[in-house]
Amino acid sequence: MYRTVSQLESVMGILAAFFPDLCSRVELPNRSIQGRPIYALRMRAGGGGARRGVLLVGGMHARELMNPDAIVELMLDLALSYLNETGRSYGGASWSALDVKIMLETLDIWILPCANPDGREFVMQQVGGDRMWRQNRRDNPGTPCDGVDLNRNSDFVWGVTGPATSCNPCSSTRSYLGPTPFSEPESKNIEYLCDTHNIKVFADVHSFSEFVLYPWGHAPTQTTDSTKVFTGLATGTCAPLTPAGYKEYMTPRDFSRYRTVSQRVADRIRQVRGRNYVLKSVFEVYNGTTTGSCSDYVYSRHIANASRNKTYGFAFETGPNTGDNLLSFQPTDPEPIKRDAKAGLLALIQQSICAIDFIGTSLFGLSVQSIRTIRDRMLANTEAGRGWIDLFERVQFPLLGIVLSDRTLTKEAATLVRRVKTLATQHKKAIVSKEDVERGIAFLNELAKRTTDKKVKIDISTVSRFLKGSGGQDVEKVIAKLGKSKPAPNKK
Amino acid sequence: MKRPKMAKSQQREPGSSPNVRFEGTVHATRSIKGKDWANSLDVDRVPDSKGRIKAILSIDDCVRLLEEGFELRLHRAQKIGPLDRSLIVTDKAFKKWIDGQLSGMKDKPMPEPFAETRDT
Repeated sequence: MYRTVSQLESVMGILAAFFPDLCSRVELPNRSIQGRPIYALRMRAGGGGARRGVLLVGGMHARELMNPDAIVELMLDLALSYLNETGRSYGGASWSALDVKIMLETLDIWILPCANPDGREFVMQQVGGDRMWRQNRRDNPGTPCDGVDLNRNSDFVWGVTGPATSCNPCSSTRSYLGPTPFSEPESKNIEYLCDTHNIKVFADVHSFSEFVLYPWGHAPTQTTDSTKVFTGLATGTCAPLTPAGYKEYMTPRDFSRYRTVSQRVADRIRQVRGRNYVLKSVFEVYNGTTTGSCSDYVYSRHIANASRNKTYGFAFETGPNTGDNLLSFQPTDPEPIKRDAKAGLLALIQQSICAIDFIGTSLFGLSVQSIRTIRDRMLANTEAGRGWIDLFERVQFPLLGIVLSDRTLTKEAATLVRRVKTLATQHKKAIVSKEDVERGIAFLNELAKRTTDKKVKIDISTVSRFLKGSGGQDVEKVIAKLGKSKPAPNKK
Repeated sequence: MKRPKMAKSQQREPGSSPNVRFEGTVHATRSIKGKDWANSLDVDRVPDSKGRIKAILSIDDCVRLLEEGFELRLHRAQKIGPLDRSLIVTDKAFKKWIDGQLSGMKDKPMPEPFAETRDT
């Protein structure tokens, strides 16, 4: 069973009315092509100013009906869990009350559950409607054909065609890319949300095939030739991508992050009822060029314009390929698939938290840019360094709950972040003192005492061992050592 | 399925096709030159677990592709029309669901946030 556009909007309106300290509903600046208002909802708890934002988008393709329902249900589930101080389970995937509290008190969670309301209305319209409608409802002048594919209309290598991207409004692909980049009000709303909020992670939820997708879509992704950047490609050509055989660069660090996060999302989905979501780049879905997609666009923004934040853009394809496309797009019972989707999205939200950023910037107003610079420019350049980044990203969420539950630990964490920031700022001259090491190890020991998770204990002891050998060394040497010796894999 | 012999189709008026479309796979025959034929098919592609070129095809798509020399294997026909009314949540059912979800929540106080995330 699928909700109507007005029912989806009602969920957001009711959440904002019932829980104004938790949820704000916002009408976006661009109404749909047929004049319908389009709403987003922000969920956050606790105080504080600037936060990392996560944006979940659904319903861009009208016929993919399950995802708008899943996204509004997820928000309702999170609100109820937070207010009742209870955990949340989807099948065999569970999150504790503390997990939910951390997510809502450290992030701004944005949803745009029904990005294409006209299209959804048309799918459900009992006279003249079409359940296989995909695009918005633009009347393309001079043609008998309606609709623009909103997921081909973003300003990213726009106008380059492929197996599912066309310049012809009457194309049977149903993937007409529109007259200009962001010609459509519905896709402009995504640009608006990225421009006006600190969106660090984005997911565009589609159906079907059980994929977790990451960039790129216009070309195969490679991590070795940094001269191959999309800003040099010809766009608006209404022709296939040139040069032939082109592969787009992604930094090894970002590629590793995409694969790691996607794998964690897929692992969580598997816990629900055993479904195996496969990791792929967007290009691999049809083994051909897809341009103007939202998930590529949001990730490309910081490359096209260095003054913009980096946003990791993901796309999900929810639900199995049943072999019957009607049942794949619109299963008679979408509930199990929605549970998979909600688990995957919650896993992604959880992965969007950065403990150092939160403790440093949000709680104590410290810029952590120098730490980020060392991570991205030095550690991320080697496989071993990326191993340490991966370890940190793995343990930060369970440990953040412990830290935030104890004010003394929170203050100690902030003191350590401040010290690391100082060392990172002066890294060529600074020495990691014996006191630094002792203080760091004491903090880690305290965390190890309080966690019950064996894997986290092992990771903490790996970090402690490394720290012990770092006293009296200059920061550059310590970083070089991290970049050479990978942390032992945690397989327990 | 062997490709039927067909006369060259005439341009159809929009809306003149029967009220049906097909789900099927498209296959190259010997007359199709080049390796990139799948990228220029102009069909509504859907993913296929076996890696085949699967699509939702209108009658016009079928005629065109056959004329271009492709072989089509049609798996099922679908009537063109809106989502079945029985799959749409009624307003009554929606109200019952949301009321059930929010029962007793209206004046629920907000939990105490972590000390450091409180507004001061």
